Amino acid sequence: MNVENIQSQMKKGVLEFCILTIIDRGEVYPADIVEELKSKGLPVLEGTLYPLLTRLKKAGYLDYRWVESTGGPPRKYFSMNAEGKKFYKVLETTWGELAAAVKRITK
Amino acid sequence: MNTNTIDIKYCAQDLQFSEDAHKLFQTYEGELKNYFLQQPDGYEIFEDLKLRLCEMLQSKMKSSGGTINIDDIKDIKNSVGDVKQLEQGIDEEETVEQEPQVAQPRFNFDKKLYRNESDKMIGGVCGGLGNYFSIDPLAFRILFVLLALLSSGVWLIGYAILWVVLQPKELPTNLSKRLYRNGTDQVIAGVCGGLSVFFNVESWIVRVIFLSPLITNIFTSTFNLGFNIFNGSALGLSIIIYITLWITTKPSETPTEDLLSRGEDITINSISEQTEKVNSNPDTNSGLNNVLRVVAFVLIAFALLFSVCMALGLSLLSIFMWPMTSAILQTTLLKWLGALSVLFFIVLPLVAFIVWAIRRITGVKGPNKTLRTSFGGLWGLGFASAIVFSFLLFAELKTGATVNEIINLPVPGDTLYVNKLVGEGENQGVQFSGVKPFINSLYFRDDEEQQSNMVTFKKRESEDGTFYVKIEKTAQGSDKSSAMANAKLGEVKQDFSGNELKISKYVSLPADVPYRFQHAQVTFYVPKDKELVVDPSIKKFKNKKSAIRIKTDFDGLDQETKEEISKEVEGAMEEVGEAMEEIGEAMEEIGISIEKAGEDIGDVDVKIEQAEQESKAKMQIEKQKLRIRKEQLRLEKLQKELDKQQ
Repeated sequence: MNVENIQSQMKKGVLEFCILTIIDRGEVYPADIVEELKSKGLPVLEGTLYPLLTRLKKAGYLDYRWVESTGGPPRKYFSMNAEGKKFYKVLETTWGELAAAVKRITK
Repeated sequence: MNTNTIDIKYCAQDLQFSEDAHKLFQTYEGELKNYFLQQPDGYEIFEDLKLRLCEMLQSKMKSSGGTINIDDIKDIKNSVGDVKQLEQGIDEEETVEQEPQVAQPRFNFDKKLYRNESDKMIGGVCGGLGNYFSIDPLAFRILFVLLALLSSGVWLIGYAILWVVLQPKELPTNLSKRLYRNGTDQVIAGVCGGLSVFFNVESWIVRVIFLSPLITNIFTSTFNLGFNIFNGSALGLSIIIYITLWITTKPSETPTEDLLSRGEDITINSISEQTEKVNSNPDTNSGLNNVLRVVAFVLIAFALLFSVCMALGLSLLSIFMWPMTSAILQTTLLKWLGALSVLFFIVLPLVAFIVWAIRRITGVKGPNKTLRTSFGGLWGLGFASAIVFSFLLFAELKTGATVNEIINLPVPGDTLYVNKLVGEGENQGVQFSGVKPFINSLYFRDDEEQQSNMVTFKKRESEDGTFYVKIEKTAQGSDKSSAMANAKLGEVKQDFSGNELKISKYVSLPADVPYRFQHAQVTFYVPKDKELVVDPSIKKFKNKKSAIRIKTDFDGLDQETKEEISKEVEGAMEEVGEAMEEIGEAMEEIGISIEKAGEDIGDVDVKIEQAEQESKAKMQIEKQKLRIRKEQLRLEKLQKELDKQQ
């Protein structure tokens, strides 16, 4: 049991929740998600983000839309659908409870 | 620092790498590809990531002054992630054992046949075959579907064997052009949209061509035109083609696939152009497109003209036949709905067209939003009321029923005379236009009653040796019992005294009941050795000819011969008439049996039985023809005798 492994385990669930929070605010381009997470101190690799988005999309929580960009390749923008909103609500509650509990324990 | 540069086209537009940067990038991309293709949905993830890599390379090239250097690649690698990092980040998911991917040449004899995991509809057999021969798997899919259909499913075993025998593998695509269903331009399943992309033709043209058998079918069946180029089987064929293509093609989702279906190179430019095009018309100016365009326009114009004529004709008819229309639409609701439908659904588009034409001619430019919204809204209202109206009317009229009435006629002599009721058909309505009397002869209504000229007369042989008349009254209604009640409301007035039956040519109804197409069939039953004389004023009598011919005069003959001859002629003519009638019936029978035969293809027994019936009917006709010929000869003989006597 090494420390990196536990770190990544800890990060993983939280990361997914944070990504969903960003998408929940509105349609977004993956690179912008990376940018925001980095600026808030939770850096993520695009190589990790893309598979996650694809899985969430396949699970029916996210929709996507192709948007042209000037002089570059087309961009896939992601947004949350009704199913995803429900999914997110559950996670939000869980996170609230978890964060409060962790705070109480580590105090 | 390496100064050699490499210009390449990566999935995209022209990029310039320094030599070492290019080498590093190639290795990195290969690793990423290998890594993701081992994951579920890895193909899609990699495709998405590739576009992102393109974007990053492009911006790096700009910021590094035109050449991507090795540090740029390292930056990208840091941002996207090294395969080792990614492996740690993602939990050990079920990874499939995978041989390292080698870029495949277009055709290679050492190649093995696999099931294609990255291009499959069921088991990937056809995808694998397509990959092996470097052709579109669609060819194999259509072939397999046809084989399965032709062998009534036995071929599915063959497919199953291939499925079991072949090993699965993710194979890279090696095609330049393939047919997809169009995910962005679809009405049913995107087959037409896909075809339009494949053949570079506008999609609405493909749709109209697919629908053309249906359009022409409606025409030919309505006007009963002599030609039948596009018949039912053409419609069936287009449906079968559509469904086959639906089953055998995949929907295109990514711009990359859209491009593949056009056979274009996949570059950044082409992909971005592609996304621009998604919501606009394809740039199509090919000869094929123009020719098909004309064909499609003609078809659409035909269909439009046809529906406008039908709608106008129906509404004009219902306006001219207003008393009848009003009696059919007895409730205020139906009348309002009908008026709304005619006004907004049919007349309004004509007005809109005229307004448009005037605006065009007077040079008013630009669309008028208020005009458009109000026209559109009113037309929508008209459309809705037309639908509700048709539904209500149909519900009110959908069932038909018949009520029989038998009146015994104790005729003292050998002859029954049939005449019209005195005073009938006169003074009906005020004549103020040429149309009115004609319409009144069909349908008439005043404060007391309504009458419709819907009575037909027929003659039959009576089996019990007495004269009687059967009146079959038919009407429509919302169900069987209401239809019967409606039929009973109708009355064919008649008055029998001595040896004369006076009968109305109209079905009479009280003025305040709804008109439900009440009509009647009056059949005179005449004993074999007795006579029926029908006055010519009773129209629509099926033995009209004999009834009129009785009155033929033979001038210059003594009374006795005259009577004798006329009796003979009368008898002969009556028989001819009967024979004609029987032929008519036999023809009808044949018609019905042919129709039935058509319906029951496949049921051989039924067919044989009907064929027998048919030939019987034909024999009957031949017999009748012979009989007619005999009668004609007899008539000729009589005529000669007559001449001699003269």
